[in-house]
Amino acid sequence: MKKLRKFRKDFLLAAIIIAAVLFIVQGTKFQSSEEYYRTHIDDITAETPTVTVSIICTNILKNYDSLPKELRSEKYVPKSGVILAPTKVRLREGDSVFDILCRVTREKQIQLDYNDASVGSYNSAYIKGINFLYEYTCGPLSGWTYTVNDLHPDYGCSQYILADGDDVKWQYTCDLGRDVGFTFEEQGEKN
Amino acid sequence: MKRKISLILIITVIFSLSSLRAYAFDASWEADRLIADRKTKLGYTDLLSESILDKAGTTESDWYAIALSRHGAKDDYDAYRAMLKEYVTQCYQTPQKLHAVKATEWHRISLAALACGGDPTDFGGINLIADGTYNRGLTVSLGQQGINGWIWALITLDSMNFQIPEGAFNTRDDIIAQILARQLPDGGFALTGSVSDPDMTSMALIALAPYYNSENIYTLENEQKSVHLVIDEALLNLSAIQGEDGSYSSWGVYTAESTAQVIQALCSLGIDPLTDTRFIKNGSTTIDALEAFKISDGAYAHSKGSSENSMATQQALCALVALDLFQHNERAFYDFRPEMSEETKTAISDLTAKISSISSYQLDELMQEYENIPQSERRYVYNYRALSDAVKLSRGEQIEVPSLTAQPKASVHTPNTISPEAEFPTTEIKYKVSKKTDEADENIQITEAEYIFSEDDMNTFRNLPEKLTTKEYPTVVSLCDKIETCADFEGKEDISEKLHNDKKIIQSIQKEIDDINELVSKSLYPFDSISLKDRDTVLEIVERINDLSEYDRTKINYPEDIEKALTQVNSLYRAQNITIALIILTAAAAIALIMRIIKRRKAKAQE
Repeated sequence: MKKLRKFRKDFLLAAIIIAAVLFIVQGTKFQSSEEYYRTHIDDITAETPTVTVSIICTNILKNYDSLPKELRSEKYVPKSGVILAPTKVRLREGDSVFDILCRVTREKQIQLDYNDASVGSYNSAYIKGINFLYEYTCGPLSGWTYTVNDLHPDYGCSQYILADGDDVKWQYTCDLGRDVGFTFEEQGEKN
Repeated sequence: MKRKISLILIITVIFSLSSLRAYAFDASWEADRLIADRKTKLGYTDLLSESILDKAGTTESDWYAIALSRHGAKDDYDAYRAMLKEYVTQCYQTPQKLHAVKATEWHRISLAALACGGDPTDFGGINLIADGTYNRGLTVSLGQQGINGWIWALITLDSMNFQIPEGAFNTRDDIIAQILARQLPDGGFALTGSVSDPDMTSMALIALAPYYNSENIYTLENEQKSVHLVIDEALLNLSAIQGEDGSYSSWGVYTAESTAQVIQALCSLGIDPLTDTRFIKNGSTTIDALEAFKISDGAYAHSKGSSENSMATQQALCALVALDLFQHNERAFYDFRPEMSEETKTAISDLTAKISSISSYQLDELMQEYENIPQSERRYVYNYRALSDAVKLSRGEQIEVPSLTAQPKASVHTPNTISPEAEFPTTEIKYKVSKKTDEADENIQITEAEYIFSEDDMNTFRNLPEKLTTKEYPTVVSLCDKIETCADFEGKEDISEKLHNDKKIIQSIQKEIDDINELVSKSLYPFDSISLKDRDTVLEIVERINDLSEYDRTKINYPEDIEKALTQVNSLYRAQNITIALIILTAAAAIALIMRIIKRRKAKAQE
């Protein structure tokens, strides 16, 4: 009994060492719930709603001659025509196509230039350029278009509110949308 | 029989209702209401203030300035002109100037400059007309962006009847021919493809309208065309593609913008959208159709069932103002020249009335009356074609009248001179701007060079806050512009120095905002790569943001990302500190434990 008491302090020290080592190994990043929420807002888990975004400029490859010389570089136009391969992005409540594009380009460090129609708070942004490829850069009918689940909406990208599982494609057109599958003439005739 | 009577009754009721509605439509009042509602929504006294001024030189703002001015609404045009000049000056320091490809940037900005009483041929020393129209081809072809480059160049040239100097890259006839050559087999025009688009057809009509009475035949690559035939064919096309409810569709969707463009095209040709049966479908006019896009409070939607849209609202305002000008027998929407003399107006309306009952007059006499009207005003004899046709029929030959594109023989061939007919634009535009608001001001003609630094300006100057923010930028730029051009007064130099210093201060604040935004986008992404090494950068960003005024802080992009990064680096920093503390604790505990063991062993050995 006396012997056990003698070792009690040793046990305590050993326990402290083990506990401390365990903590160090396990990680010491303690956060309040608010902090945790703030830094994990865009984490993707099985339950979180997501959308898929991709940015494609294959049409420029097909019209390479129309592109100004200074842009004829892999840096701006990748050989694959894919600026951003389909990427899953956490969808926040009320996110528009524009919100998601802003977030994903910032995160992936892709240049983005747009007009945000904040004047009069109309909330309809216009994408002028992605990855330094601008409207009118590759011919008079060129610019950025978007589809959601392969459909071409007829309104601004900041007015399109996304739903879980939506597939957003940003495509560069050199022919006012026809080369990305937009067939407004047929629609016009139907109407 | 009963059925027939009721049918007649219904038709009568519909007709009387529609005519009642037609006459009850007051475009001026509608435009006023739209402007008033915009102001209320934005909380501005003048529509051209704060956020609108910040975006002077862009599509978002310029159309407001243009429409307001053509409506003769009272607003802060001085501030807009100053900000627009600032924008142009800044852009001209880049190699592409206003845009690498889009000549229409020059066109819209030239029109906005005119709208605010500026001279686009000398806008802060820059000749927007030369650079953007007849000499644009020295840099990039006007057609580089498509047919709209040609169309808007012509509209801009005719906005103040600007004369093209000899040796210019393009002449008026070049531009007209380029437009005519792009007519599609169906009669209209489009940006691309073989099916006409009502927007592009309408814009082409607006551009060609001043030449409807031209007898010129243009020899194109494979054919010969005259402007009036092209216009007639385009009008047929527009009539044919009009929707069931009077609206127009573009890209397969019926839109307010397309409908508004058609209204402007009709008004530019003197066609009354409210009465011309070619443009009424099922009793519905283009105006009815446009009003169906109105959501509330003077805001318009792009398509049926969608929410309010800035472009739709701006284009609707332009259409309303164009209709108002037409209804009041004033100049067309894009004709910024001072109103013509009463004498010419009377001559035109007399001749128009005579042509509508042409059989009772001598054709030669009418032709003489037509030729007596100044060349640049003949476009306003809207029914001249009837006279022309009758003359051709009786004489069996082409009519020899001077070409409408012929320039008056005058010694004004320097690019900086506006034709003598146009005179100096600013004087009269000022008059136009103030005309409807303050009758007493009618005779005051101010030019850009004769500003008076008024008591109001002085008060604005005195009320500038001690600590300036970017919010004051439009005010300071506007005051700088005024003090540079105003007449001398006591203390002018000091005020001028202070104002220019203030401008520099705000520009440096703006630069700091831009720098912070750039630093944020360079260093805070991707989020997962943020490490303790970035802590100093993040703290620096936060500190620099805190040094900004409350207003300027709102100009920092993505504050939530900065917050997120800050939380991350702080968490990492805390984790690091906890780790260090734990390591020290472990080490201390280990040392204590070892010491105890050694001590015990020593004690045991002694035993």
